[in-house]
Amino acid sequence: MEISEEWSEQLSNYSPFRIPEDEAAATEPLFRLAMSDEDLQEEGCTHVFTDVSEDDMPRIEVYRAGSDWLFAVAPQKEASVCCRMRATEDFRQVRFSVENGDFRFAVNNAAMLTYAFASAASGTLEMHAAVVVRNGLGYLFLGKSGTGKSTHARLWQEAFPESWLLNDDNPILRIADEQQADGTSRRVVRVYGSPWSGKTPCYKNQSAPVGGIVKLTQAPRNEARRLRLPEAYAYMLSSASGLKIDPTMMDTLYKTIVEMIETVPLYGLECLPDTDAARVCASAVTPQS
Amino acid sequence: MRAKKGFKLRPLGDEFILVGESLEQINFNKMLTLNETAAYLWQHVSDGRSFDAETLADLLTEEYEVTREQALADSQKTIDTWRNEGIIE
Repeated sequence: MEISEEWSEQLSNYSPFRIPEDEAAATEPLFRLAMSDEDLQEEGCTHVFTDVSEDDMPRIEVYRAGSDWLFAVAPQKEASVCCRMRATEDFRQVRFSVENGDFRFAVNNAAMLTYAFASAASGTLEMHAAVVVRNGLGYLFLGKSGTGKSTHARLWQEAFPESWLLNDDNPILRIADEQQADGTSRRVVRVYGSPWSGKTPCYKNQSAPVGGIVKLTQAPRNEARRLRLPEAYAYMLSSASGLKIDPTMMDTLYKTIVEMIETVPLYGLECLPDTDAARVCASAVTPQS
Repeated sequence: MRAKKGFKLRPLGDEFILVGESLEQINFNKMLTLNETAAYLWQHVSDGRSFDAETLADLLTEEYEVTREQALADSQKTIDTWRNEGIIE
């Protein structure tokens, strides 16, 4: 993504991820996102469906325009549209417009959606989760909005001063071959920070191999258990960004998630908002602690 | 009975899951776990053909060592489950 100087201050969340120009020129980008003055109105397009996953999450109207996708994004369920984007079928070329003036919201939403959809087709997941890193391993906390993902991440940092927050809302997960110290190669699930982190400004260009993924549920006790594969799959699928109606994307999402849940352990944690929850969780996901 | 459109059967470990991955099932937010036998039956009716307990019992006796009586009972149970889950109509 190319960002002009005058906007870079408003988009400082992207600065840690900036790469040198010569390096950028030598790399084929995953997608190109451009702000457009063109008419990206939905007239003449076919409305496909409305995506409102949770009440306080953005509302996304999805349209088709020939083979192109058109999205109209509103910050909440009842709000008016603040960003429109038109993407090629493979999400590699995307134009977006800023409606009603909130430039920052429009850019971040367009970039996040485009990244999610373009990367979902290539074996990478954009997750709705908070992540802490402890002793070199990343732990993801999943759950619906309001479950206490951020709170649980903060409780880990209180219980274990050596742990730190990698991302509070939108980390990236990827599975790939990695060379080990002994020279062999194996599949590793790695979690990355991103330029998007919900309400917490935590934009870290760092990564860690995943130690475990934990689905949180509020309860009057602290108790962790290992999840069976179908449960693990369901929670991963509902926490990963993807277009449910795009069969190619869903095939890739399925393959990626299955490989990940066969590689890293998933747990369910019933928990209270206290530091004991962090300790119970940590002793389940880190067997030697 | 007929299978509703828009469900996708996917293998997962030694089981199968049925997910609503389509516009028709965009609001189906559940995910069903099917064992190998149920998945075998679903595969044969997922094209939307009309079926009843007799149809499923035929499929079961063709594939498995099971009495007609047992197959019919299992088929009726499967149909009840599927109807309760809202994947057939």
